[in-house]
Amino acid sequence: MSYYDLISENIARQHIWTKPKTAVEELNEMIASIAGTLPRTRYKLHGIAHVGTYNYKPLFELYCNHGSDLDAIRYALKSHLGYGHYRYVHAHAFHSQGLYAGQFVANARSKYMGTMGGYVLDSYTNNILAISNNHVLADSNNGVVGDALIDKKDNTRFGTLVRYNELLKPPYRNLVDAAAGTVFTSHFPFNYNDVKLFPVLPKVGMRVYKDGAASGKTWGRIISVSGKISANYDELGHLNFTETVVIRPEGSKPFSIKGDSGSFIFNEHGYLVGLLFGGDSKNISFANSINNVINNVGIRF
Amino acid sequence: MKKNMNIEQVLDELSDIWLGRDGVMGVFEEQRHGETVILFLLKNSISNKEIPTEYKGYKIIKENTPEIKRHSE
Repeated sequence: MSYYDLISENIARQHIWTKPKTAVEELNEMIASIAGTLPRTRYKLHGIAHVGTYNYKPLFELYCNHGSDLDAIRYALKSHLGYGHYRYVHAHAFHSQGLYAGQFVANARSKYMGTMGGYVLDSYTNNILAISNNHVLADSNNGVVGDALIDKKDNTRFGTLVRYNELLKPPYRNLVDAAAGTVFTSHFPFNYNDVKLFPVLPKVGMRVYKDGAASGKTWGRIISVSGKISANYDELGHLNFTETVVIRPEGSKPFSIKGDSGSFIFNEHGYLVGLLFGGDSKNISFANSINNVINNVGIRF
Repeated sequence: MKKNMNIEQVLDELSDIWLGRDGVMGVFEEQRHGETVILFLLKNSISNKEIPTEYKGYKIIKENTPEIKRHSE
């Protein structure tokens, strides 16, 4: 049976992830076998369905983890299936219990929210942690270890604040704006290896993307990894940052806007390079280098 | 133009003097036409004539920005 047959109209219009596991496994094996030739990247294809036609060509819906490397998946599918159109559907659209990277999150005591960056391991306890900014998960230093962390998708508690880097006022220069929280089992319906990330150092000229809760997936290019920034933190005033990764957007759309804080930033091969924290919502965005986040928050992968 | 100091040191020195002062929101390097230049991000409303146009062999370019803010909402 060809892969095209596998996702033919007979099983279309129903979601394949409810079909016998063998079908999903076969599709995932197909993707893995092709993607195996690419650098290890983060993706998870839950299912695929033929949902109709677009411009007289078959239209498929791909159901993937938020933040999957869609280009790699699309390329792999097109190579095997030939022509067709592909539409991406976030996994959390049908898997509401899970907390996915790229969703809105907040500290329960805060009026602000930002983006869940992704999953890492606690260097000290080996627990799985969710990462975002201090000003997202720890309410800009107002947070207390043990605070409830909220999944804004349904305003449910997903975990507990365990650690953050205190943001310091000038003349001190901050290296990171980062915080970590544990995640309840109910909000982590994954295998860690499926969401495991691989960090590399950011470099000038590197093409990067992020998938933020406010502006979705956008691409940009790193122009500096040693920026000195003074950013407005409202009630904390202006805070200085050093060793900042500076990113220009690709095209006219801003790389990041309000609500994207906490997004992880990846290079075009899917390797993790930074943690977004601010910008001017127009021409420029700023991130902490992932090596500084690792060293200052006490995490590993 | 002969550059007589590495870029990290230059950024450190310039930011010690200027960062957070007189509307300077950012100091960093950028490649422009194959040359490393230094960018000063300035608040739109401020026009600072005291900022030098060159430092230790690096050309300085001013760029206006609305405001640098954390990106929570």
